[in-house]
Amino acid sequence: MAGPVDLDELYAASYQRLVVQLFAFCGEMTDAEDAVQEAFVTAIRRQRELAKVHNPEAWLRTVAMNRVRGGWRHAAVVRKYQAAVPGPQAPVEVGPEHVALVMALSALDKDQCKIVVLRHLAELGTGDIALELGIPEGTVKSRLARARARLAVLLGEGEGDRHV
Amino acid sequence: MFDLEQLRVLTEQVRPPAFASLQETARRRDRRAAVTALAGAALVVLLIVGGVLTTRSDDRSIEPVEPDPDRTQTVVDANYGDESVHRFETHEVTNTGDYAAETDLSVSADYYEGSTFAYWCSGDPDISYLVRVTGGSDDPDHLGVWRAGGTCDGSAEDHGEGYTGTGPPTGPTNSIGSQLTRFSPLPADQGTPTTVRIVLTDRIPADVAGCFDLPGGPIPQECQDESSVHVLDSAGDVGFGAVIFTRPVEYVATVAGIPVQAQASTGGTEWHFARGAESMPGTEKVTLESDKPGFVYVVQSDPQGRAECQQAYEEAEARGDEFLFEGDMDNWGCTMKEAKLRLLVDGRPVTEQFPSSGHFQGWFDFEASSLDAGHHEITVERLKGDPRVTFGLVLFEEAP
Repeated sequence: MAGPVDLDELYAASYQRLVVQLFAFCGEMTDAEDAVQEAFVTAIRRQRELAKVHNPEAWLRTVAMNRVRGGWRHAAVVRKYQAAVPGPQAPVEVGPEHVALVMALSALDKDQCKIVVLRHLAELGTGDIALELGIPEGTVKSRLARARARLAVLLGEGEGDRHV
Repeated sequence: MFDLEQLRVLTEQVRPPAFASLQETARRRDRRAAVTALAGAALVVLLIVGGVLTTRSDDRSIEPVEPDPDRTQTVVDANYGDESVHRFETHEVTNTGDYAAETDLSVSADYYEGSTFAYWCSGDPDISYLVRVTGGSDDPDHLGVWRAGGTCDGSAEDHGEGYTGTGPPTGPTNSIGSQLTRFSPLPADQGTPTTVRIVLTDRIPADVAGCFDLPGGPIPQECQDESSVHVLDSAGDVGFGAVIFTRPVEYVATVAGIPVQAQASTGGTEWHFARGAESMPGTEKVTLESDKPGFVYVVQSDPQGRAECQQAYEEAEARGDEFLFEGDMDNWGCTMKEAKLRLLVDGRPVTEQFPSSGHFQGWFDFEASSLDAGHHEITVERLKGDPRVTFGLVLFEEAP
């Protein structure tokens, strides 16, 4: 059974990598940082709920991804009720190679994109991804294979580089 | 194998804000949620009483608007009213002799992002000043106000374009940077004043030099402690002045349910809202014509979904429900629909987008949608998405 989470420690350990994972998922560094900060604010407010979670970082990632997917940030009702998070602290220099990767990821189906991010940036196994997303492991594998094939085409890699 | 790991190098560049600032945000939301729950309960009572008094046949269901076969779009003109588009406000404080002063710079209005705070100090170059901004907006960097420092050598500084730095500025100044990505006004903080604290000190020691001219955001802990500087009890004839230039947003139209502001600026150029066009239910494109330099942006909204979500949110808040996070529409039992739209200029597609990552009310792609002088026909058309989504074009033109 999970127990109380040291959020300060979790924040120091996981904030940066979560931001990069979210960036890969949504393609906007600002949105990624906002989403991860929102997730931590939620965690602070829901510490009792978080204490029951087996993997707090996965919980945070899910909240952040939902946030990005919801696209709710500018809705008037939320703007009216929400206190804003601090936002980006410094510009991140995103190079052309990063843009190309993120553009390719954005061309994927969102579910495929999420699986690729979880596999290759969060370094989760297919079993863990299946648990986190609540889908069968076979579905994870098939989506991952299709996503890799599509990425290989989008990134202009040779046939020999394909990995299915 | 594609090298997704390249993205990992960005990890080192990401700078987390202080965890304490997130904790403070969480506390604010807790407080606001508590207030909202109380207000919601009061609202429910009022609605019940009002409903009983006014009607017994109130149908609260939200019906979609029926298509009007005689109209394909509505053209929206600006209604500027009596106010000048260039309206802005200044607040000046002077502080001679005293070592510190606090001033309340709160103004009740929505602001353009990038309002400018300018300041100057004169009289004794061996005396330094520190400027601190506290309270006020939840997101102080969006007010364009920085903590700053300098010497009282008579020079003036600011953080806005278009000001040369000599003498008290007269404004207004330019403030476009953030608008390119976030074309939305900053709501004024509701009732919480922004306090600017000005402190005159001995010449600023080197160990706090890193605390000056920070580009917004939470002030680092090491920069919040006045013990690192020698605050003066008296500064003789030193004078300090500051002006905050705010540019209240003036909404002059509503296009497809989205409020449109009167003016914008890019690179020192002022743009005024010229006109907008919005789709009627059932229509698949809208058009506008332009003969002047300018730009357009596209908006879309789902009034039915918005109303449903607003209602669901208020009901959930009144019940005291807890959400996974605020904004989690899945927990509210409502859905906002979207549409993928394409923008064409003179029949040529320039950009298309399915807003799904935080730009729900539209998008603003200045490069793709800027217009040079000459006659242009601008069109936006629906590619796919729910038909109940309404959309529109907003045209800004160079000011005369």
